[in-house]
Amino acid sequence: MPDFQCPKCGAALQVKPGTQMATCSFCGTVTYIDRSSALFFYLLPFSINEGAAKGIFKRWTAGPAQAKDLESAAKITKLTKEFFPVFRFRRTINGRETVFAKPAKGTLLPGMQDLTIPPGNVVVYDAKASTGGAEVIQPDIAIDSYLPELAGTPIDQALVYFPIYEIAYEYQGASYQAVIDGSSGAVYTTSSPTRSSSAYIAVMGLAFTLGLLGSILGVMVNPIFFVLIIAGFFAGKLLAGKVVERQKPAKEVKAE
Amino acid sequence: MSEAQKILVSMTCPSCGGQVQCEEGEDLVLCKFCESVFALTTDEGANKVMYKMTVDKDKALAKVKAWFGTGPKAKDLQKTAVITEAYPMYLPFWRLIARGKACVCGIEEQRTGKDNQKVEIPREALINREYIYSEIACEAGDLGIQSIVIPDRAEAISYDDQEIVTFGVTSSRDAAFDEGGRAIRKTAVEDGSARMDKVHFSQSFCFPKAFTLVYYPFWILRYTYEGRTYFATVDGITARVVSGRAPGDAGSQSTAAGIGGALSGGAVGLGIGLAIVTEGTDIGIGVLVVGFIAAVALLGYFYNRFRYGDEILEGALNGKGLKSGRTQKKVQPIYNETYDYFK
Amino acid sequence: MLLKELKCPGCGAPLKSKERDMMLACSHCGRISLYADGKVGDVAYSIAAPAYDYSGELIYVPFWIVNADLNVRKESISGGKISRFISDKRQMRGTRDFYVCAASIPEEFCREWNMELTLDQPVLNLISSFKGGKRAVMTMEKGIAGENAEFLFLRYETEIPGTLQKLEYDFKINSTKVLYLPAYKSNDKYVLGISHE
Repeated sequence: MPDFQCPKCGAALQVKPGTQMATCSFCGTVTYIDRSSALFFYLLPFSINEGAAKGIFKRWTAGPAQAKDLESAAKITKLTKEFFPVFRFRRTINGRETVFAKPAKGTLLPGMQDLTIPPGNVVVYDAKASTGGAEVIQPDIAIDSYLPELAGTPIDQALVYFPIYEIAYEYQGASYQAVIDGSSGAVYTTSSPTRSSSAYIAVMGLAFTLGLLGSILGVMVNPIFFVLIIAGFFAGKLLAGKVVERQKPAKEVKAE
Repeated sequence: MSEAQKILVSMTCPSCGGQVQCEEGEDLVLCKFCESVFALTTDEGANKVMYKMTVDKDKALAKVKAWFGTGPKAKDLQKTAVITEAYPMYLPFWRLIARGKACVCGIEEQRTGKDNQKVEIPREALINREYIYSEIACEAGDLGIQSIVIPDRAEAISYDDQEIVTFGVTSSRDAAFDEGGRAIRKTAVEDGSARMDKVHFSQSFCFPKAFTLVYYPFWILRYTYEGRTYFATVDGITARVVSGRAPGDAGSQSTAAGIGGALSGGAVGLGIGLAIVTEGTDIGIGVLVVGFIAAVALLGYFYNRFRYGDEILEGALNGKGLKSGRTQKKVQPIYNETYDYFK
Repeated sequence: MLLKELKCPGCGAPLKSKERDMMLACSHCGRISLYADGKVGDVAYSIAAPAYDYSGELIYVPFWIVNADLNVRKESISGGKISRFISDKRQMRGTRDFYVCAASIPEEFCREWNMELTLDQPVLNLISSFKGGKRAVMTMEKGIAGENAEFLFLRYETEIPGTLQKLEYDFKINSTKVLYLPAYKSNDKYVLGISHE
């Protein structure tokens, strides 16, 4: 963290994240902090532990957009708890305060391209900050490579480490990646095996057809045919049950 | 149901020491004891207000357990779900109070007469209302909360960022202020065009009154069901479950497929049958049209419940799933400050 | 959050007021200053004399006078052509002073005042002090006077016979000044103390 000194008595100043003024704990002088040229270091702590991360991944695999058997057939091959570095710039562009982030490390990880800093309690990253045993990935892009091309004038800039779980999983012989934001639990993935809607459409189509026939014949031929609507309901419900039936999770997961 | 309200903050008069009430948005402040006049200045350009959490952990847990039993969620959720953690969190929101005015002109389409002729009625509207816009001041992440309404009984406390853990503000104040103005102007035009089918002209204005950063308390709870981890958030003052993810119920899904398919088929069939039997007279065609519209609506609604009912989403959440419950809208009107005119 | 005491820009004495008025009068030197954006500054204002007597309490109501150039490029109205031709031939076009009531007068009165005064552009008899009456509190800040004037024009266009369908216009503000107009208040009724013609 950059060191700020009290201009009156020279003592080190404690500067809280996001504040413009700092009070010296020795002489009480209030100083305005010029953040525009310094680089601040922040960390977003984990609020989700490893178990919860696995649980969130499992919940995601069971979602309606994911392949039917993804939940039971996907195998996590690697789960890494780490902090990912990102530069956060606050600048005045055309008289308006603008906030945006740029990656501090080249990566192909899903979700890291859009780069929004997840919600969380930002703390100062210094020797006292707890990283909970997670690896802190160091930047491989210097902030100087961005600065000359940024529009507007600087208000402040910071290097923020945000918490992620990097997951590698295998499904039907192919490898995939997913990232879970360790602060709010959002899931980011690259292309993943998806579920086709054709079975769903087919089932409702069948119920529709039976209902349609039942009504037409019921009106034109004999009211007894209206019973086909009821038949359509039961046929639809029965077949739909088969379509949504969840494959029982493997025994090993139940032991959790 | 509590209506949108303005925030009141108490301060001490520097001249006489009496208590001064500052209403959100009024930066010209009077002391009623010594009649001194003050300008309310705020650092970093926005007032900051924090509200006291009044819901305790047990109440939050109880509310979520009750929530398990609502909607098309898994039938055994209340019995088998295990709440693994619950912690309080203060989330930041940008809040803009402004008067929105709009002039909207257009036409209303009506069907009159025996032969259902389409008639165009010219309509004008002048909207003059006070609105409140709120938006979360950090990334929503997967929390599902985007806006808030501050209830009457909320108690403001002094903002002391050392003791209470809050989520940091990451969005730009200026961007939120501009977006609030845009959203209020858009809502004013929408309110004006409420009775119109086509809008020919609209002009809107936004007169900002107050812009505040509000820290509002929530409980965040995580729970597991069949090895999967879900969550729910509870409003820390009203104790309402605001957002969450939950497993769906396979039985509800299959029933939806059956009802949706059979009923919509029946509705269309009825229309076709009658149309053929009455040899294309108005009654027959009318029922066919009504049947068709009903069928499309039924199909849409029930297909959604069938296809995406594996996971229930409440609140402003992304991703595929069955959206349930109501999300707080970003712009809310203050009704007792309304001076509209409709022609 | 801080409360910054406001002082008279002329004599430096702390300003006192019983009401939250944008126009603040100094009890020492009598100068009136305008509060805007956290500061008090000089303001040019005029006072119109009452043209006649009426029952009730005489008060002086502050108005923002927005002088603007209004140019309507395209307009399309549905119906009402005969009514518009027969009735009121007054139009809101060209350069004029827009009257925007800046005090908390009930909407039913100030609506009509703003419209009639802006259409009539009355010639006023100006005086130098608030003779015989009190100054009403100014609650509308200068910053929004211009847009309120523009909205008044749109109100006019919608309230005349016929239903407005399309409108393309330019509204360019030249100046914004303060004018106090006399009015008579009795119970909850307010009557303007100047003639409209």
